[in-house]
Amino acid sequence: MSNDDIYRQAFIEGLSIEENEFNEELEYNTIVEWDSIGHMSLMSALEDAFNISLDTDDIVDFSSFQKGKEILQKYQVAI
Amino acid sequence: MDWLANAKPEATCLINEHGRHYSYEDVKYLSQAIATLYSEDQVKSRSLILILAENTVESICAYIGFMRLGCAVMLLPGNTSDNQLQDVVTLFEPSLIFSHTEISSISIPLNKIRLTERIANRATYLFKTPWSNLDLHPDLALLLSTSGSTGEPNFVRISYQNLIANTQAICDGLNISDADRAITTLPPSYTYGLSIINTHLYSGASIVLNPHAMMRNDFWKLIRTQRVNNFGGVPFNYEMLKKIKFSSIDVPSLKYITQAGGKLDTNTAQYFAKTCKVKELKFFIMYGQTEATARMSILSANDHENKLKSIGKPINSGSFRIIDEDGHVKAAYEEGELIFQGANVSLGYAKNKNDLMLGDRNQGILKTGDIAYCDNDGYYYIVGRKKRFIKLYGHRVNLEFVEQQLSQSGFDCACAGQDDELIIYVHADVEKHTIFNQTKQLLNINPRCINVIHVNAIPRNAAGKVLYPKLQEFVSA
Repeated sequence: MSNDDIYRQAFIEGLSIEENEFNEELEYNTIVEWDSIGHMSLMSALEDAFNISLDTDDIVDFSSFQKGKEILQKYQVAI
Repeated sequence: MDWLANAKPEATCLINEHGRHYSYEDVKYLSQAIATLYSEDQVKSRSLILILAENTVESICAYIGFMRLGCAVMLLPGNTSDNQLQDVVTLFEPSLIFSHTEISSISIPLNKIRLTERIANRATYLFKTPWSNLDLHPDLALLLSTSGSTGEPNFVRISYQNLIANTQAICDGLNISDADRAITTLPPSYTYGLSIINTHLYSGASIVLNPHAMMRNDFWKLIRTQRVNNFGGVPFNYEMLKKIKFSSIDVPSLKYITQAGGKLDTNTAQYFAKTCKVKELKFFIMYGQTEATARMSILSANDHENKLKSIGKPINSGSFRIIDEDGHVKAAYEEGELIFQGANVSLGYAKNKNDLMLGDRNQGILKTGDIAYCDNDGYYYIVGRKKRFIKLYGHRVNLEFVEQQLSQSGFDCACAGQDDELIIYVHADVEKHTIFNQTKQLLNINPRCINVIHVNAIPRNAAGKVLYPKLQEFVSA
């Protein structure tokens, strides 16, 4: 799987959503699944998928699917 | 009930999300303005007022204003669904509904007033209903829901005396003064969230009304710019703070943090005891129930690292005892039901408007439904629960209710689990995601905590009762 696929898959699993509920414009608090609870499991899913440990500042800044791509670059994960 | 009586008028009372400060005098003015929008001949001073409360200046002012007017106030979360609202309004017939959102799809004629910009900074409405029920018990001050946004409406009847007793005891126990400044992390309709607001108002302290989750940058910005010195959280909040490495977050103004709303996992409790020691923060673990107005015991965790599994000692106006099935008091280290006695024990429950006339059914004694023991030093430890409910993100969910609702939809199932994990056992023929989606809608919560497990059959005894301990044996491969 490419990083792009892994990243997408982490969203689907981390937020417990169906594949057809996923889109690249997802943002925090725009769907019920991505609330503060979903956010924490999304962060865990990403950490597991890419074998990284996200810093506090990055977890609190992670506000959308797109923003997350920028953040992951810091961890040498290119999407 | 006047929450503003103890404060200096010029002191800061509320701070909104944009950092605007409202003094106690401002809050008095706004709360009066909201509570008297309908003239006295339409809304009498002893009416029932339903507030769909959010952490906003307007919601808190409505709460303060109607209480000062002598009304009984019923609180529900701002995101209460229309179905739930319809049920509650039909059963209780409040005279007025306060809401930040339009109420459109309920079948009750409502007369709407939108608050002017002079009073409200955001869309805020008062809806006058056709009712003006005044048959309320004179002691009744507040109605808080035990079922959150799920299940049959059930409210705890809280008296003025309950509110004063519990607020004073918490202020004493935590040493709250007018120098304190809290930030909201929980809904004001939730007993623990409300008690943080009440204790700070009562002490003439200030409250930052925060709409952001604790893992958002905006939350930490608010904490820092407004020099917040305390916050509270349920176990989920603390799991999250640990995950975002609370130990590495620097907030110089912070003085103490409190935890309640369920048992904190021991590892997490140790992490916070240790981290708070390094940060020179006080860490309080508390135990409470809506039925006890808010809180029953406090553990000052910094001083008692060897007692972190404990819920501490009772607040100074109350006492605990452990009893067996026959009501006999148990000795130290013997398990039994935890009984609380104190002036903060609520009057009883209300399932409809007729119950609002009832007097004190509990007489100061609360059977908590929790199984506990006491050690030689007088510290109490919860080991289990008598009743079949679990807490999901701090809110009670009745397992019976979930089973009933699912079986009404045609799914034979059995519910079990622990706090923050609801397990639904269902026959392998049923698609897991069907149950998952049904439950998600039913409970209106984040589905992370729902786990559906396939079984070959639901084990039952001859009388048809589910044999819960046997469920594991029937899990299908």
